Amino acid sequence: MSDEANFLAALPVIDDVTGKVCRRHRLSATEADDFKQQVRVHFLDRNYEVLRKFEGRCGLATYVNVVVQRVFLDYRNQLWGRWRPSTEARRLGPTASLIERHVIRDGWTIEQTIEMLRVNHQIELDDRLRAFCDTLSGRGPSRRVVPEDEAVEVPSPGPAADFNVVKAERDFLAKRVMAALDRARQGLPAVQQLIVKMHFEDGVAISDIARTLHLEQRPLYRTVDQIKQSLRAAMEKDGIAGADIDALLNAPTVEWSETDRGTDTGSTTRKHASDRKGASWRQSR
Amino acid sequence: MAAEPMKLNGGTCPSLETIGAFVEDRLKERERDVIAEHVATCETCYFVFTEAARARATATPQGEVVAFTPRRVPWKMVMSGLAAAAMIVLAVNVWGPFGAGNDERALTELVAAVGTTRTFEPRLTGGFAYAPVRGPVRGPNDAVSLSPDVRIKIAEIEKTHPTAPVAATAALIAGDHDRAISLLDAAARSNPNDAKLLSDLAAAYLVKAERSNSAADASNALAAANRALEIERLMPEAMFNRALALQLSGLNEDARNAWEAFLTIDDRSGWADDARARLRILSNQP
Repeated sequence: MSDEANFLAALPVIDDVTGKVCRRHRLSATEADDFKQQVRVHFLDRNYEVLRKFEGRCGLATYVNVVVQRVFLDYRNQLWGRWRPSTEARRLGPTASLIERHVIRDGWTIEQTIEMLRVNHQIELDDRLRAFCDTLSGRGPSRRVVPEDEAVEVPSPGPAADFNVVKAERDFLAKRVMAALDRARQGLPAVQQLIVKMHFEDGVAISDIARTLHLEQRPLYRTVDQIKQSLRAAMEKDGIAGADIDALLNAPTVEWSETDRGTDTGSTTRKHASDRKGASWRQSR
Repeated sequence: MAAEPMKLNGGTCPSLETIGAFVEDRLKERERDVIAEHVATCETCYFVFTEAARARATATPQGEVVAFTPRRVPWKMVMSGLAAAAMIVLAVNVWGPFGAGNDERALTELVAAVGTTRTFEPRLTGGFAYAPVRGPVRGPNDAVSLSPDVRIKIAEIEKTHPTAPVAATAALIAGDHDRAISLLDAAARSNPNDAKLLSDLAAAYLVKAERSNSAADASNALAAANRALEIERLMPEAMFNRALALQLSGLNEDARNAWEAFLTIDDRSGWADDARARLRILSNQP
């Protein structure tokens, strides 16, 4: 088959994956069109180089999937600039990232953002996302544009003066905890390192990790318990307080099917991290 | 080498197809570990991997995902009784009368006895610890510079596993590269798909090439390392030996690329420091 024929044969898969990525990451109609074009150009570029390089070491659909995800990462970097969603937003999925982007980066109010989600994406917030919004409103929008002569009248949307001190302490603690986790993780076998990143940093449910890494689910629970013990021991040695270790190791997980839907019944998620005792540092991450 | 590294964000990441193979669990155990370790530390690859895996997991019915396990090879199930018997005969001939389990135990004990005594540049399989090379070592009398523990272990292996691959490892450590080559060559002919044997054969040829300044042996080492990497693309020992063979053959540009490729799978260990030191030397050469 010619390169062009290969491309045409792969096009339905490319379009299907692209559509899924657009839906998952809540791209607007304009953004989705733009991204779709970028993906097609990427596959057409340099005389179909991407498909010509394909050696069959994985299925074509998976290869296309991986390539589209990579193109999306570039597209998102282009879209977001230097801004990145917080770890907490990433844990909660693309809807949380979108909320955070509009509130923190663009200075929208929580109400405006919720309305935009409802109208443009037909998303009603669940308890989990509402708790996340509460956390964001505590931080306040980073900027608000008003005419200069009205600026004097506008009360500061920012938090109280001592809030920054508390936040700085939280930030420092969060960095310390994550650095200790990183050090403890380095002593683990390769696949366990990935399990730690997925489960403890990104809150991926064990069932999803088992599917992703092709591991049996039941023994994986035991493995995760063992990892917890060794991480706890290593972090205690690093001087991290028990409550902070608990907040990290017992943080809630979110099943992928839930974040993909964008709505959550709450049935598969555990209590929100920011509601837990000792989890204060998480709110600033 | 089949696994083309791809430059991303100034660093070197596995190719997207390798990530695809990781998503589908098509990599061998060692490759899988290498990629898992990389993915756990590289935000870009982590994003691509988790998003691709998530899209795949949420798109495929769970039953199919669980049932599809390519690493559990079906050829074992279809192998006839005759073929199985032939394999057993082959295994007995190759691994000696004590079986592969004992062979592995002997190798583990040898690795423990050797510890951080490294007497040559090439890298053996079996989990030998990194250590700087201990001075110039020449000729078969090198065994005298080994500790009594190592010498006892080598003698035991020669007695109990005279024709097994572990005997080749022992012979190489004892300084008898010719015997190591002969044993490994025979074993590799019987097991042409054993990447470890081929990588060790490359190491044995390299030791010989270094000591006798022989271009032919360096070339044999390169061929053996290449064959090992055809079987196991990301085998660190074979990648290390291949880079060494290229350098010894005077193929500086290829050697530079090979060391850089090695550093993509290992940038932390002492072996990586060795690789970086060699890269520095090569970068000062035309």
